[in-house]
Amino acid sequence: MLPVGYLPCTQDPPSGANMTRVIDEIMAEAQAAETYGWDGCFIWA
Amino acid sequence: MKTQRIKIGTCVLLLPLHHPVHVAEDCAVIDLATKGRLILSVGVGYQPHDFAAFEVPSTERATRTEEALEVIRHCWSGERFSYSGKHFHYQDTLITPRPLQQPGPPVWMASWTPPGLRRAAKTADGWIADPVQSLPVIKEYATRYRTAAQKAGRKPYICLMRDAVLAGSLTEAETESGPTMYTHRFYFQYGAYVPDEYLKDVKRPEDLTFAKTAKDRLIVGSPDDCLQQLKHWQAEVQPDYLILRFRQPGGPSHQQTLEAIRLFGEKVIPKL
Repeated sequence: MLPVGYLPCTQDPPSGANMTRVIDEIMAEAQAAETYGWDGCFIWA
Repeated sequence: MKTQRIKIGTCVLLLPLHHPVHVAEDCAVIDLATKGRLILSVGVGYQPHDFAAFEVPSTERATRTEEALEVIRHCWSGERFSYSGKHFHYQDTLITPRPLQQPGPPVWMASWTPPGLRRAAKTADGWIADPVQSLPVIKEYATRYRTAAQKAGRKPYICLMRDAVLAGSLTEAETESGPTMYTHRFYFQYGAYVPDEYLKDVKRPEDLTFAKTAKDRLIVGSPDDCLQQLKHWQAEVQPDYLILRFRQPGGPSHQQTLEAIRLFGEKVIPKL
C-alpha cells in the first residue's frame, strides 16, 4: 500500500487573527489522519 | 502526545533562509519528542521577496542548501566536527542532543528544475515532486531523478505531492475548486508552471481553467474518481510516497476537510 501523508493549511491571511484556531484545526486534522490510516502529517515551514 | 503513530514532517522548509545548526537542533528535539517520527523536507526557495526579507542572496540558495545539509548531518552525528565551507565554518563543534533516528531523520528535497533534481539525487534521501507540474512533466523529472540518484549511489525515493478536491462528483469538484484554483493561478503567475501540452493556450492566470488545471495535475472528484486518477499516477510515476493537500486558505472548511480525510482514509488509501 502506498503510504499517504496529509498537508494541512497553515495560513490565515491576511492578518493571522485566527492563528489559534488554525493551529487547533491542524492538530485535529493530524489526529483524524492518524485515525483513518494516513501515514504522516506535513507542515509548510 | 496528540498523535502516536503518524510521521511528522516539514514540507517544505526553505533551508537557505535558516541557520543549519538551529534546524539541526529543532529537528533533533522533535525527533526525540515524537519517538523517531520526523521527516525533514527542504527546498531552496524561489520567490525573490523571501530572500530579500532574510537578506540572503538568492544566487546563493543552492550552495547554502548543500552546505547546510552537510552541517545538519554533522550536527546529528553526536560527534565533534570541523567544517569549512563557502557560507558556514565550524571548529571542533559538538551539537546535542542527537536525534532518535540514526544517522538522522530522512531528508527529502523538493525541486522543479533539472539542477534541483540532480541536487536532490546527490544530497537527499528522497525527492519531492511538487503539486504544480502535470503528469508528463513529473514523469520526465522522475526518470531524470532516478538516473541521477543511481549515478550518485543513492537509492531513489519519490514523494509525489498533489492538490486534491474531494467532492461527490467531478462536477461538484469543479464547483468547489475555487480556493485550489486561486493557489494554482498564483503558481502560474510566479512562473512555477513548467510548460506542458495542457498549457498551450494559457497566457495569463485567468486563462487557467479548472479543466486545464485538473487534467493530469489535480486529484479531483469522488473517492472513486480520485482512486482512478491516483492509480494512473502510480502506473506512470511509481511514487514511493504521496502527500495530499485538500485545504487552501480560502477553503474548504475544517469540518469538510475532516470528512475528506475520513473518506479518503476509508475508501482510497487502502486500495493504493
